[in-house]
Parts: sequence; structure tokens; C-alpha cells
Amino acid sequence: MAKGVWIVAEQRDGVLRKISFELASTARKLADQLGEEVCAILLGSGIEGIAGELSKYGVDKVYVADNAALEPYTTDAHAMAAAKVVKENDPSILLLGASIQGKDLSGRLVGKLATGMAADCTDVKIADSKLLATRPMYAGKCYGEIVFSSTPQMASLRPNVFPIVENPKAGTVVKFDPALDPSQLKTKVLEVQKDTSGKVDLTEANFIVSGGRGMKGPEGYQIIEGLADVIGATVGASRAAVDAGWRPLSDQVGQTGKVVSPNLYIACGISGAIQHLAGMSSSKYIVAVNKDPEAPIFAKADYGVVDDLFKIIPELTEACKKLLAE
Amino acid sequence: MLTIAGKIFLLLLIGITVVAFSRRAKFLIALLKLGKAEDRSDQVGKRLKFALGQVLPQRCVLKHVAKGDFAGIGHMLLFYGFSLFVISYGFHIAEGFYEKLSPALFGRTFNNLFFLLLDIAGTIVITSIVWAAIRRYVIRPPRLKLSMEAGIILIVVFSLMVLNFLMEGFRLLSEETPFTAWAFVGMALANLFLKMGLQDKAFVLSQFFWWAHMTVILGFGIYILYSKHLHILASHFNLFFHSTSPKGSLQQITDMEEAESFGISKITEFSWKHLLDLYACTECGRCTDNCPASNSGKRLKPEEVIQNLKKHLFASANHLLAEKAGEKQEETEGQAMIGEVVTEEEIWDCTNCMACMEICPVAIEHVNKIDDMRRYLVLMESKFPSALQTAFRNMENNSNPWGIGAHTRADWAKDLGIKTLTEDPNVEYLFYVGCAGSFDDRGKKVSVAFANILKTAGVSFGILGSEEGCCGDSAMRGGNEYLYQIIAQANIETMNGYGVKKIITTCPHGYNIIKKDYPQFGGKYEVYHHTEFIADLIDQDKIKLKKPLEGLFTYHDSCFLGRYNDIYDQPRKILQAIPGMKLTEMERNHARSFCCGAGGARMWMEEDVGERINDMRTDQAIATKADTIAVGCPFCLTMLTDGIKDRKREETMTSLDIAEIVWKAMDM
Repeated sequence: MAKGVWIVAEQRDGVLRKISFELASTARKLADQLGEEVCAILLGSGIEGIAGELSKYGVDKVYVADNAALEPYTTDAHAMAAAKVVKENDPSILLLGASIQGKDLSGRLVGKLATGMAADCTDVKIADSKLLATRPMYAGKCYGEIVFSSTPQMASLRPNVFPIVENPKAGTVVKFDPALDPSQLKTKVLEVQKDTSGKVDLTEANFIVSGGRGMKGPEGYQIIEGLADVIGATVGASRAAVDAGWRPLSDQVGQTGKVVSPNLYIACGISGAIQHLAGMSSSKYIVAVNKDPEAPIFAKADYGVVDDLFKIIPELTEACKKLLAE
Repeated sequence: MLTIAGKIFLLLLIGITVVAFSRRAKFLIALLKLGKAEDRSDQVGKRLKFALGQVLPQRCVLKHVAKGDFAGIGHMLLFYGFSLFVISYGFHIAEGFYEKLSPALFGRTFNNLFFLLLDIAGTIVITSIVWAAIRRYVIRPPRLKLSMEAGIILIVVFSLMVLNFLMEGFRLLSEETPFTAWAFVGMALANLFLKMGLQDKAFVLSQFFWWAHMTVILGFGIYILYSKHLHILASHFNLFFHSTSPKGSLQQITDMEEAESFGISKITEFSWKHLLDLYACTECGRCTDNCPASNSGKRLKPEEVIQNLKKHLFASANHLLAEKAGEKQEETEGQAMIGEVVTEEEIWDCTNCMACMEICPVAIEHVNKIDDMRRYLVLMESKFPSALQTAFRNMENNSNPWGIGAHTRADWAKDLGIKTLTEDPNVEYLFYVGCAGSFDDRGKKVSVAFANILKTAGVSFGILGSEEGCCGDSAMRGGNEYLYQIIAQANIETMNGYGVKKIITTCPHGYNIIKKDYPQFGGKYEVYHHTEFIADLIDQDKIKLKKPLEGLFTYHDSCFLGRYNDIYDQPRKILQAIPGMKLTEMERNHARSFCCGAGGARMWMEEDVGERINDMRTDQAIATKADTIAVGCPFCLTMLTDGIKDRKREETMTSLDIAEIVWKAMDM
């Protein structure tokens, strides 16, 4: 009989990623309802030291495979190692992150385990001692509830949705041999190239400050960059600003540019033509600063300021600076 | 009449010509047969009428003379002049075998008249050739490219004329009873030769020039098939086999479920008619001259697409013919049609504005070829501009390219008391609002204005509300036939479910696709564009335009309304019905109108090469000094509004839809 709530923890360069703690906290909650253990799989090289951190969030047992072939991440090696330890221990629930790495791994793993999986879940709970997973469908128009007919009941959890709850456990570390068959490892990482700009990509940014035709010229963007620096935001632009050559194409938000959904989108001097709205209207909070009270952006904005942005933005920057200093 | 030896020699010459001509013709026809089957044998009478109607009065090249395309006059003169000469060659040869078979057979007057006309024609042809040479080598309009073939034909035709006159002159001098009295050039030359003391040699020289003449003309007959002058023969057939399906409709992919490949990536996947197009092209360059992509510095040049496809067809001919014959082929790395012969950039640059097809004198179908190659790129390779991906996905999820929640589609109509067909399926007209009219704030204003006009006129109409879907124009023209068919079928099912018979749209793209492409899926409706409908309402006195409107207006012909549907007059009629209306035309108007840049799914793509097409069109409007650009299309409205902002004219210039202008003038 399958038993135990398991997670696949994620680490990069020897540091556990936030999603690992979200997985651990969620697994703990489910395990408590079932009266079962929480186990984590941790794969990599030179990572034994960080296994203990997972216990802080309610993991009872961490299965660690410390092997040079597991670093850096490859789908082949990680799927092989995880499948081995899961098959040996037969857990009832297995959770992964719907992160880039988790999405990559879960497909291969679910095949190796010949089970079913609910991807990109926004909620998981126990009903009748079984896992019930909720996931958005049709681009968020409705939610599907998924139950499983085989074990492990596998689900990947959308990052930044599940709360992190501290719940320290004694936590034991179990080392296991991933038994990697070199002939089966078909990919080899030759080189890792990191984006050195240090700038968060628009599509991943939490905060975005965007400027449009109202910026009047490339110089205008200095005040936007000032605000962005203070609140840790990425700078975006409307098509008008990009076409005018004030900003690079990579900054363009909208129908033909990037589609973004940050928590906060500050639109400065952007009228909000539908082509722009199509790229940012799914932002959580939209703030608009525009001189024209008729600008359609105000219909979409949660907060709007009808005023000269060259006056408002510096004031806002100062206010944020003060607030953050406190 | 010739001697026995002469006759044998002439027969030999003719024999060589016939053999060389038919070998080449056989080859060309075999190449055409490599193309896919396509039935173009319907409506023979209509086809014949069209082809003759284009060729005989030379309408094909004269249709734009009024717009400054004077080259057509030169073509006409050459065509008539040379045609007369072709008849004279018949007489020459016939006469060579039996001397009674001359124009004199039809009487003295006919004979005189014939040679008079021939001399006039010869003079005209020589003048035209000199003009053509000056134009091509001195004036050098950008649409003409210098090519050796063009030079050869000018020289050959010129020498044919000269040889003819020399022959005529010496013949007149050598004969005791001149064969004609009215050949004024021949007579003048005969007099000249007489003064030069050539009378003794006149007979020999006339014989010499006769043979020279025959050799050149027979050689020319062969050369036609080997050069771009294939046009002289192929264009007649191309006009005869022109597309009779609704103007601008695309052939749907019929076997979506079973087909193994979609769209076109190999030259032999085109139908034979599309290959015949390649023969018919004579590099006149009118298409490129009128193409908004070419004019704005993009890579697409429609003429080059056709010419490069033609070169590709000939370059791979032997390989393809052998393959068809079942002969084993060594794997040869020929050019890839997409990528090397026609680049992806060229394929995506096209706005589907149809300016090329409208101007083409020989009915070449450029846009269909480009859209078929798009289909291949999208459906087989999934290679298309990334911005288009966003639009496709949004159309899939929310049935509009912007991805705005489908349930909000009818929000614009909330406070207007407009019934949906669920509430009242017995209305006479369905107002198919379309995506722009439903979701774009600017477009919504147009929808409201038009709905108000309909209500005032007491028209019985309803909307589909949230049951309406995207019309699929951008999916179809963006090469995503699969998505388009899903969208179209869903809409047709909904509309047929309500028994819809008459539809009005405010968007020419929806208008065109519902009218011309939906019938392929069983959606057959009477479709009206709102400008047609409003024009009728004015005619029937159902609405009154009482308030004079200030300022100068200019009307921008949308491609999908004008060129695609020949609706040019109604919008102008509406505007002129407004009191105090001052209307001016842009330099490019009616069929020569310049695209706004948004057609062919370009609305959803970046335009980062060359100048922006909408800015160029805006400049053309600014040049009229108008303060309002009137349009009948939401895409044009967006593009021109953007252009006005780009040109910093917001304070002095605006663009409005015809419906908004009418509603203003109704002053309710």
C-alpha cells in the first residue's frame, strides 16, 4: 500500500529554491491530514549540507543523491534518480514545482512511473484520503478538479501560490545511490551561460514601470528608471516609444511585444490603446499616470493619477524611497 | 513567287522553326503539368469574353493610363502595329509559294489600304520602340529593370521594321507595276534608292531583304518561347484561365483531417495555373511599383517573387521531369523554394492589400501564392513571427486577437437596448460587430454610432452578443488555416442556428470573409458593409443628414472594401450627402489606394524594416491638407490614428469612421 507524501526539492548552485519550501509546507499540510510522513528528494552534487533546511518546513526524511552526474541539472539524470527512489519507496503522493525545471522533469518522470499527473495546480487538498488537485483551464476561464486513479498521485504546483509555513521536524537524511547508467545519459551540459545584465526579464518581473508617447523623448525615461531603481522594478515601454527609437524593442509591452503579468504595473504617459492593453491587462495592480482624463488606460487602472507625469513620478519616487528606508 | 530552290529553302526554314517551336512548347506544357490539378475550365464564355475584352481593346495595360501609367499607350501601339505585321508575314510566306496569295487577292483597294496601314503601323512601331528604348535606358523608371532580353527584343523588332521598309522600297523600285501605290514610306525609300542609283540592284536587294526579314521573324518566333517574351503567348491563356472565384477569396484546404502536408513549399505543389502565371509575367514591374511593402523599403517585391519562382521552375525542370517519368534521380540539393527562392521575410511582408493583382495586366495571382506559402510555414513548420503567436493563441482562447475575455464581447452594447438573437431571433439583420467593434475602445465608438443610426432608421436588427466569434480573417491570412476553419465553422453554426439571412458588418475584413469565404463551409448570407447600408438608408430617406460638418475631408479606401469588393462610391456618396461637405481625394485613391499596413494579419506583427506603411499613408493624407481622414475599417482607423500621432498632428487632424461622421451629421 502506497504511503507518504513526497516532494521533489529544487536547488540551484547549492541553494534551495523558494518553490522547495512551498512544496514542503504544502506536503506537510496534506501529510498531517493523512497521518503520514513527508519525504523530500534532493538531487545534485555537494548538496548534503542543505538537506537539513527542508526539515524546517516540515520534511521528516530527505532522500539525498549526491552525484557529480546530477550537477548541473539534466532531464535524463534527474528523472532516472527520482524514478528509482520513488519506485523503491512507493509514496502515495508526489509533488513537484510547476517551475521551469519542475515542468521539464515532471513529464519525463510521470512517464517512467506510468502514473497520472495534474500540472500547474493552484490548490491541492485531501478528500476521502485521496488527493484532489485544482488547476486552471482554458487560460483561467474555469477550474478543473482532478482525482487520480493510480499512485503516486502526482501534481505540480504553480510557484508563488502556496504559502510557506515553518514547521521544524527532526529530519533525517537518507543517502541513496541514484544508480545512473552512463549509457542512458543522453544529454551533457557543455556550458552554462547566464544573463549578466542583472535585469529581471519583463515577463518575469514582479514590478514594471512603463513609459509611452507621453515621455516625449528618450531623456524622459531617466525619471522612470529612477522610480524603477527605487522599487526594484523593470522598465517597459509602449510601441510608440519603441518606434520612436526611445527604447529598445526588448522593452516593448503589448500585442506585438511582450505579454506581462506583474503584481504592479505603473503606466506613465501611456494612453492605453488596445494593442498595449493586450500585453498588460492581466497585471494584478495597474497604476496609470496620464494628463488626459479620457485616456482608456484609466478604465483598466486600479489607481489613476490625472496629472503631469514629470511632476508626479519624481514625487512618487521620493515617497517610495522614504517608505522603503523606514 | 520563289524559285524551286527558294521554296525548298523557305520550307526548310519554316520546318526548323516549327520543330524548335513545338519542342519548346511541349517542354513548357510538360512543366505546367507538373503543377497540381485545378479546374479552370468552367464558364468558358465568360472567360473568353474577359480575355478578349482585356487583350483586343488593350484594357489590360490601358486601365491606369488616366493615373499616369503612359507605358500602356506604347504597349497598345506596339500590340496593334505588330499584330498587323503578323498578318503581313502570313501573306509574305503564302505569296512565296503562290503569287496570287497576296493582299491583292482581296482587290486593289484592299491591297493599297493594307500596305498603307502597314506603313503607318511600321512607323508607329519604330516610334514606340525608340520611345521604349529612351524610357528604358535614359529615363529609367524604377519599376523597369535593365535586362539583356529586353534589349534583344527592342533590337529585333526594330530591325524587323527596318528590314520590311528596305524590302518594300527595293521591291517598289524593281517592279514595273508597283504592287501598291499607297505605301508612303516604301515609295519615299524607292525614290531615295533611285537617286542613289541603286535601280539595277533593286531586285537582288529586295530579294536579300525579303530573306533577311523571313529569317529574323522565324527566329523571333522561336526566341519568344525561350525568353521572357513568352508573355506574348502565355498572357492570353493566363487571362482566359483567370480566377473566377470571388475576388480575393482564398482556396480553402479541404482535407484538413487526412492531408499529410498543408500549404505550399515546393514549386510543383502550385496548381498549373499558378505556374502559367510565371510564364505570363513579363517583368513590367507594375506590381512592385504599387506594393506598399516595396514602397516602404521592405524586402518583398512581388515581381521578384514571380520571377524568382519562374527561374526556380526552369532551373529544376529537368530534375522534376525526370522524377515524374519515374527515372531514378541522384539526390541533388536544389534550392529550397521557401528560404532561398522566396525568403520568409518576403512572405511575411505582404499585407494582402491586392494592389499587385489589381494592377497586373495579365491576371497573375500573387497574394494566393504568398498565403499558400504562409500556410506551409504555419501549419507544417510552425515558423512565423512570434507576435503572431500571441494573436493566434488569443483567437483560440478568447476568439479575439487581443485575448480580452470573450464574455465581455457585448459590453459595448449594454446601455443601448440592443437585442441579441437569443432574445429575438426574428430580426431582419444581424449586426456582426467583429472584434475591433466589440473590444477596442476606439472601435466600440464606431459600433455605438452605427447601432444608433440603425435604431434611428428603424432597422430591425440584433447582435450575437457573447455568442459572436472572431471572423478569422487574421488567422486565415496569417496562414493558420486550421484555426480559421474552427472559427468559421463555429460562427456559421451559430448563425445558421438562428436562421440568419442578412448580415451587416462595420469591418471590411469580416465583410469579405463572411461574404466570400464562409460559403465554402455552408455559410451563405446576404452580406452588407455598413457603408453600403448607410448609403441605402440615405437613398431611402430613412435618415437625415442635417448638420453641416466643418473642415476638409478625405476618404481612405480600405483594401478589403475597395480592391477586394469594389466598394468605392458608396462611402463617397454618403460623405457628399452631408451638408457643407468638402471632400478631397488623396493622390492614390480608388483601386490605386495605398494600404494602411494592417491587412494580411500584419496588424499583429512588428513592422521594423523600412518606413511604417501607416505613416506613409498618413503623409499622403496630410498632403491633401484635409483635417479629417474618413475610413470604413477599424484596422485602417487604428493605423491612421497612430500615423497622425506619429506625425504629431493630433491637434489639427483626426480620423473617423463613416458611421461616426454620419451620426454626427444626423445631430440627434
